[in-house]
Amino acid sequence: MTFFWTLFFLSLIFFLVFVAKAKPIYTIALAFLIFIINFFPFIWGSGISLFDFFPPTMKFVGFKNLFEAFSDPGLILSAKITSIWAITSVGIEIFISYSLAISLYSIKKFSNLIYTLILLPWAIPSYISVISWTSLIEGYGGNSILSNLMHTTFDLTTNLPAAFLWSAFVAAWLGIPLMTIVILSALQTIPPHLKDLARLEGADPIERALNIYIPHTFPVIFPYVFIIFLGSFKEFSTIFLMTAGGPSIASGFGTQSIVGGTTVLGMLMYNKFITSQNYGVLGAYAFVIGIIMIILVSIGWNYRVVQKHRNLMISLITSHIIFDIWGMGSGLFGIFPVIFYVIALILYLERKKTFKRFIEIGIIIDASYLIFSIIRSGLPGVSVSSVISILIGMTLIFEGRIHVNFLKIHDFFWKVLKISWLSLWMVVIILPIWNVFLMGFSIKNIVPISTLIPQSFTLKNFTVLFSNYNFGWAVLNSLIIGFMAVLIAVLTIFPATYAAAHYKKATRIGIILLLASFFTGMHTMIPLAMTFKFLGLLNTFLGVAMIIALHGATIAYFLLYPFLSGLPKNVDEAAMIDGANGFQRMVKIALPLSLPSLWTIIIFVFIESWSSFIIPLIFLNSQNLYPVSMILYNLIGQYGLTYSQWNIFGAGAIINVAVMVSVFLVARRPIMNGIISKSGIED
Amino acid sequence: MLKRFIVFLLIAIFSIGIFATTTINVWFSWEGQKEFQTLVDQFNTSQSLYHVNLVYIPSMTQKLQITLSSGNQLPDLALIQSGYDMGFLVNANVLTPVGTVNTSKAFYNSFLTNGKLYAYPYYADVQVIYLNRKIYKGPLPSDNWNLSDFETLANKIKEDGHIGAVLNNTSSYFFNSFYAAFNEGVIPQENGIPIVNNDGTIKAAEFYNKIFNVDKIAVSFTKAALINSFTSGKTGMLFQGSFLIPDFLNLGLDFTILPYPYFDNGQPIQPDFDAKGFAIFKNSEAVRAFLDYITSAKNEVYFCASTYKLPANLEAMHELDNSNQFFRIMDLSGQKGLILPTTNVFQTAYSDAISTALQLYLSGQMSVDEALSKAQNYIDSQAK
Repeated sequence: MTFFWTLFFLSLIFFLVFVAKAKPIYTIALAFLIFIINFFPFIWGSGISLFDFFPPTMKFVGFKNLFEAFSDPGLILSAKITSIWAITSVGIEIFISYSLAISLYSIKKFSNLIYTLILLPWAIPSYISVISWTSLIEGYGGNSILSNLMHTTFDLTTNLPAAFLWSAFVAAWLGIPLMTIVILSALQTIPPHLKDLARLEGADPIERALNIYIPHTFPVIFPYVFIIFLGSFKEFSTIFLMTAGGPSIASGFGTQSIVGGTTVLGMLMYNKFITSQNYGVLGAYAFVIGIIMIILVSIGWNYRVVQKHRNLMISLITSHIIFDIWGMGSGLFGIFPVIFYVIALILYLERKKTFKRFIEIGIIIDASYLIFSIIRSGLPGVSVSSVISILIGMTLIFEGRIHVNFLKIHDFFWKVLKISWLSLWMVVIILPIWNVFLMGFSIKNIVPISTLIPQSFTLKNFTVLFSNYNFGWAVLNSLIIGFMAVLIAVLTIFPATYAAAHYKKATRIGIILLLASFFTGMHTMIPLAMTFKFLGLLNTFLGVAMIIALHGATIAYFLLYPFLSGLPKNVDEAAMIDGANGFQRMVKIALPLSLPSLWTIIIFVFIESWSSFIIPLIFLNSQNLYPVSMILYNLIGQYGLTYSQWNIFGAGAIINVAVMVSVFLVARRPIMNGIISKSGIED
Repeated sequence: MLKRFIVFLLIAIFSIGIFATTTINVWFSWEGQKEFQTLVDQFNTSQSLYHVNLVYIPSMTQKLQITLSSGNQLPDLALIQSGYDMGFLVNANVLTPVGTVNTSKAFYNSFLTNGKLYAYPYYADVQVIYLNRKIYKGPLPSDNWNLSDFETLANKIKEDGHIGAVLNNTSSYFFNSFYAAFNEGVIPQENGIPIVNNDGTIKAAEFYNKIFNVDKIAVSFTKAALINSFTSGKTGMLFQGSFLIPDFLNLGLDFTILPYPYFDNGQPIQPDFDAKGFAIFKNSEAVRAFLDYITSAKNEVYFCASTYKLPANLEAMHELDNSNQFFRIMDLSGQKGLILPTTNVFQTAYSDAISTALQLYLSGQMSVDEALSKAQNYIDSQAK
C-alpha cells in the first residue's frame, strides 16, 4: 500500500505540474482524469513489474519479470499477428470506404436515407453486431446462413483463414461508417471545376477516381488511416467475442504463452490477466506492450504536419531498427531496406526529389521479404517493421499519376455497378440487424442457419428478459452510467478546451490527451483495475463513468477546439472591457454559443457509454450494477463454450438497437455536420 | 425526559442490532436456477434472522477469475465446479475450509486439497452417452458394453446416413476420461504436475485420431453445435453431461442414456465426476444455516429430482438412485466417476495445453509426440 501511494502522489505532482501548468483552474480536472485513467496505470504497471506481487505480498525481483515479458516468443508472435491483422482490417476498411464514398459522392436522390444507413453500424453496440456476425458466419460448428449461401463451412474454431479474415472484416465493418464520412468530407474539398473538366474530357468513373478523387484526398486521409491502424493494433473486443484468439497454431505453442492465429496483443494481455495471479508479471506484460504502443504513437505523431517528411522518415528508420533487433521484424535482412531509407533521408535533406525512388525501392524490398517470409513460415514470418515501413512509405511516395482506362464501358454499366454495390452494402449493413430480429422473435432458442425468413413469432422473449434477467434495472444502470459519463466529460473537457483555444500554453493538455488516447488498451486496463482497487473505485458507477468519459474526451476535444478557436475575438474582447473575467466569459459567452457542439459531444459520449462492454466486464462485479451490455453478453457468453440464450439475447438486442437508433437519428445531422462541415461562427 | 429518550434510543439500537437480518450474498450458476430460487425463497420466508441475496452468474469460472484478478469483492458463497475452479481459488487463499461433511467418498475427494475440504458438496453431473432412439431403434447395449461395441454401434449409425457420435475433441472436459483410462485408470502426475507426454496419453490421443480422422465415426463440434446436431436428428450418439436430460425431455426427444463403455479388457473408461459445491468466502452463522438448509435430504431431493443431478446428501442419493432409468445410469456412472485433480496447474495449465495439443495433432499440424511434448513443456513452465 505504501509503495502504491508513494508512487501515486509523486507521479501525480509531476504530471499535474507538467500538464496543467498553464491555466490550472481550467485544465486540472481533465489532467487529473488523464492521470488516473491513462498515465498512472502505466506507471503502476511498470513499477510492480519489478516485484513478484501476489497481494498483499510483494517481493523485489528486479528485471526478472520484464526480461521474461520482453523475451517471450509468444508476445513477439502476438505482435506480428497483430500487425498483419491490423493492416488487413485497415486495408478492407479503406477499400470499402473509398468505394462507398465515391459512389455516394454524386448521389442526390435518397442521399439522406443512404447516409443514415451507412452510419447505422456505428450506432449499434459492438457486443451486439459482433455476436450477430459470429452467429451468421459460424452458426453451429461452421454450418450457418453465410456458409450455406457460399457453399462452404466457416468454422472459426478450426479454420485459420476464416477466423483471421472474418474477424478482420467484422472489425472493418464497425469502422467503415466513420471512415466513409471522413472520405466524403475530404471529397467535398475537391474544386468543382476539376470534376466538370474531367467529365467534359470524357473521363469514366475509374479515371475520375484514380486521377482526381484519390490523389486529391489520400494525403489528407492518410493521417486518419494511421490512427485507424493504431486503433486496430489495440483491438480486443472483436477478437474476444468472435474467436477468443484461436484457432491454435503450431508456432504459437510456447512454454510461456499459448498464442492462437488471432491472438492479438490485447487478447494476449487478457489471457495473462485470467491465468496469472502474479501482478508483477501482468505489470511487465503491460509495460512491454506499452513500449510497442509508444513506438507506434511516436510514428503517428509525425503525421501532424504531413508536409514535413523528415521526422516521418527518421521514425520509419528508427522503428525498423528497433523491431528488427527485438525479433519482431526482418532480423539481419532489415539492414537492406534500412540502407535505402537512410539514403532517401539524406537526399531529402539535400532537397532532391529522387528520395522517393529510394523509398520505393525500400518498400519493394520490405514487401518482398514480407510476402516471401509469410509463404515460407506462415504467421511467424510476419515482419512488424516491414508492415509499418510499407504503411509509412506509401505516405511519403504517394503522388497522383495519370491513369488512362483503355477499356471504355458505357455509362449505363457504371450506373448499374454503382447501384448494385450500394445495394449490396445496404444488405451487408442490415444483415446482422435482421439476424437479431429473427432470434428475438423466435419461439425456439436457435441460431438461424438455413433461412432468413422468420419461422415463428413470439413476444414472450421480451417478458422473460425483463422478469428473469432484470433487464429493466440494466437499462436504468446504463442510463445512470451514461449520464455520469456525459457530466464528467462536459465538466472536464469544456474548460480545458476553452483554455487551450485561448491560451497557447494550455494546448499541451490537448496533445497529452491525444497521445494518451492512442496509447491506452487492454495493457492499461489491467493495471487500471489494480489502481481502481486501491482508490476504491472498483465496482462503482463512478469508476466506469470516468473511463468512458475519457474515451470520449479525445473526439470531444477535437470537435470543440476548432469551434472555440473560431469564436469571434471581438465578442471576447468586448466582454473583457466590460469587466468580465476569464471564467465569466467562458460561462456566459462561450458556453451558450457552444451548445450545438456540446450537444454532439453529449450524444457521442452517451452512445460510447451505452456501447461499452469491456469496461463493465472488468470493472463491475455486482449483478445489480450491470448495464445492458453485460446482461446481453452473459446471455451468450464465450461463443461455443456456453449454452447460449439466443432468443432472449435477440429480444434484448432489439430493444438496445431501437434505443441506439433513436438516439442516433436525433443526433445524426449534428454529428455529420461536426465531422464534415467547417466549424466556427460568422463574425 | 431527555434521559428517557436516550435510554429508549439505546434500547432500540440494541434491539435492531440483535434482531437485524443478516444478509448473505450467494452466487449460483449452471442449471436449476428456478429450483434453487424456490429453495432460497423458502429459506428466506421460513425465518427472519438471515436473508439470502441470490445472484445468477452465467459463467462462474470466468466471473471468479476476473473478480480475483481485478481485486473485486467476492460473495459469501459461490457454487463452484470441482474440476475447474478449485485450483486457482485455493492458490489465491480466499477459501474457508469446510470441516467434516457427511457425503460420499467421490464428493469428498472432489473438493479435497492438501488434506482439507474446500467446498460444501451439493450435487454432481456425470458424463453419459445420449442415444437418439429415433435414429437407432435397435436393442440397447448392456451396462457393461465395451469400446468395440461402441465403435460397432457408431459405424452402424454412420452407415444409415447419420453422424455416429459427437463430442468436442479439443476439450479437456471429454479427453480427461480417455487420458485416465489409457493410463490404467489414473491421471498420471509427478509431484502434482500432470504428465502428458507418456505412452498412455499418446495412446489416448491416437484413439481420438482413429475415431475422428481415420474411421470418421465421430465428429467434433463446440458445445452449442453438439447439442444442436443431436436435437436436430443428425447425430446418433452425443457425449455430454447428464445436465441435458431435463432439456431433452422438455423438447420431447426420443432418447436414452448409456454409461461410458469399458475397454475390451474390462477396465472402465471413467466419466468425469463433475461435482459442484459451495465455496465459502466469508464464514458466518448465516452461511452455515443456509448450507444446512439447502443440503438437507428433503431439499436435495427436490432440487436434484427436477434437474437430474446426483445429490451429495447420502439419504437423498439413496432415495433417487433407482427412481428411474436416468438416475440408475447416472448412479452407475457416478460410482466409477473420475475425480479430477484440484491443483491449479491441472485446472489451468494442463487444460490449456492439452486443448492446444489436441487441436494441433488432430488437424495434422503436429505429430502426437511433438504436440504432447510441447504441452508438457508448457505445463512444467507454468508449474514453477
